Amino acid sequence: MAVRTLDVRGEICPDPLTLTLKAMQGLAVGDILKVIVDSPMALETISRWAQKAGHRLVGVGEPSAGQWEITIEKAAP
Amino acid sequence: MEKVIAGLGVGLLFGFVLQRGRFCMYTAFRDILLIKDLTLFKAYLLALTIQAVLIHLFEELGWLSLSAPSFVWLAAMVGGFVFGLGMTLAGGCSSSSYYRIGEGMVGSFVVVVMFIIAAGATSGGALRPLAVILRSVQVDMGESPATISHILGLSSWPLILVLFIPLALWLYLSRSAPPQRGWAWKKTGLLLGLVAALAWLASAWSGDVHYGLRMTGPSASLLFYLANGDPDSLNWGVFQIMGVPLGAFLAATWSREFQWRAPKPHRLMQQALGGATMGVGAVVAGGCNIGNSLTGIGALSLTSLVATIFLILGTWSGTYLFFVRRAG
Repeated sequence: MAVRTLDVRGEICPDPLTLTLKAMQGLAVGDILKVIVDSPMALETISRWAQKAGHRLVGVGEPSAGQWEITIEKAAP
Repeated sequence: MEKVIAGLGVGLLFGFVLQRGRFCMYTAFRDILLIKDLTLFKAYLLALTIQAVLIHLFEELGWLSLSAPSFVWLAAMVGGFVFGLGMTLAGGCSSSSYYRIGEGMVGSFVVVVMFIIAAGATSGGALRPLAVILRSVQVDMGESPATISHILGLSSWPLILVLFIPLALWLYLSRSAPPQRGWAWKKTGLLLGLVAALAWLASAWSGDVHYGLRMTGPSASLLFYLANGDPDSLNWGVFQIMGVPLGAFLAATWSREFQWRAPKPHRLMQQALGGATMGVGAVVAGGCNIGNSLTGIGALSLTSLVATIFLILGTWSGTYLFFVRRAG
């Protein structure tokens, strides 16, 4: 099980989402992707996409005010 | 004084709801294509439904008089499409760019500055001939208002019932993934619909032209005021657009989400270009995603409906050209 971190702070919409989609494509089932975002909007869209796509939204942490770390476990397609 | 109170009051509420609901119509339209998700689109439809029913009720009570612009179909198509393309470059619609200034987004500030300059230039400056030529192509409807109901040969109420009751029922039964830190889409849609309806009353109370929420006209008026100092340019809408980032700032501070953030320089320039494109498109189409897609369709304007369809097509084209293709 690999763990990969993707930092999309400072990116503008829809790049936080499209970069997450791209990063997930490169992972194997069971791998973990941690996405660091600084946009409240991207936090919602990425979390929503992960659940809708059937991946496991492991959790959302808030390391500091206005920044979030979304942990997603890749599921079988 | 009424204009200041009505405008700032509605703007503050609008900005607060937009920030807590993370409401962006660019995201709403884009995600239908990009990730086949309807969550924010449903919030938009709910707000539209609530507002449409309430303002027609207010008109029935004699509190408002609803009006629709002439059917400038070519300007609606071209302007809507150009505005949609601009949103994809700017990374947000006009209302979400305004509110995200209140979250500390420097990129959104740049979008709004360019939107204001381009809207002013297209409305009453160097680019005005473009808008005048495109808007001169129209269908003459005589004395009748250019509304969707008129085209269908119906009065407003039957159309509202046929259109919005099934929609409201579908929305009531529909579910989406729960939000993380923001509001659920149903709460956002409900409150946005109420603020949109309140905006119509506020405009009437302030003695201005009866119209609901809008961003484009007031953005151009703000530029005229800044450039010429003419106090007549300060309509209630100017105070409404100024209230939006303030309301969002209160919401973001309250929820500990305010933080200064800036994109990389080349992204900032992309956003600047997007903001300018949006300003031109919005004035040509006679409104943006708020003035046309929310307020105008709520009043059953035919021009607003056509502009919104092309705005969505522009968003999808831009998303495909600039992002989907590139992401491979």
